[in-house]
Amino acid sequence: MNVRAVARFGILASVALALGWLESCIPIAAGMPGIKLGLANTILLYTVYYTDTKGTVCLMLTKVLLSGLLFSGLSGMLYSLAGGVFSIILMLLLHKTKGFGVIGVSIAGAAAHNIAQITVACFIVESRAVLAYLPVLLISAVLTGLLTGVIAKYVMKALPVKNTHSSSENKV
Amino acid sequence: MKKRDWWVLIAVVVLIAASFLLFRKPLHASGAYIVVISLDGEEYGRYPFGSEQEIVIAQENGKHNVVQLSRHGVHMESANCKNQNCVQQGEVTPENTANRALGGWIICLPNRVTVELIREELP
Repeated sequence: MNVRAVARFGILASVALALGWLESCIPIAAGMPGIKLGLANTILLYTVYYTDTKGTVCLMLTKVLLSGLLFSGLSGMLYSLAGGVFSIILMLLLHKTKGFGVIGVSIAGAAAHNIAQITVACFIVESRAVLAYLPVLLISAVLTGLLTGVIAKYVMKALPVKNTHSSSENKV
Repeated sequence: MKKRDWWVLIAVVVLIAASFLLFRKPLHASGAYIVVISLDGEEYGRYPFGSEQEIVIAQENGKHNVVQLSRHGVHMESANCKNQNCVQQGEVTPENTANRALGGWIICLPNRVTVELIREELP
């Protein structure tokens, strides 16, 4: 990692953290855990497209660790780690497969995030109640995945910086 | 949207439909309404619906929930959990279970308490 890449990583991580905090201030569904806009996912989508696998995974782990320590606490960290790992794997796979666009990758990532969270919740509370919540979360995943996908698409159009992660010659 | 993006959308819609059919059973058409409270997946108690009653679930680890039954519904009166989601989930009534996002359920994940309004077939 060169200096430019480190600086870029720092900026992306802090924007992801700030967006995570911002959306925690926007209650879109009171009492419904896991339903959120997923704005920080625009940053992860950006890294999926414009950095390598290592950088993307590092950014996800940084975001999970820091927002867990700052905002959500240890139990919240467990949910977001499971969601983060599963959604990043799926998003990277779809991105590497031909024919999927940003919006498809985004919706798949959002759905994977929620499925992983429900799975964790199933281990914490062994109740059918958790499964009854799955369709609700998936509906929200389609809507918010669409939203973040469209946002990420425009962000990438505005900032089409390719491969600065590994190259030191690149001018931003 | 690219062509394969539609595949993703269709796959998720299929998952939504399947999970609705599998995990969201509508209430029985007849029978008495009862409220089932569970702790950690184990049944904690069954309570007849339709009269005023306050049920306190105090756990040894200090976790504490108060469920309030009224003539027309049931809600989480208070809880000492961090996120207060259960309190915000509001009241479950026989009329609103079909339209509520959580159906007949109130869930307090941090305290592992669930409340469900069901209809029990009379023997």
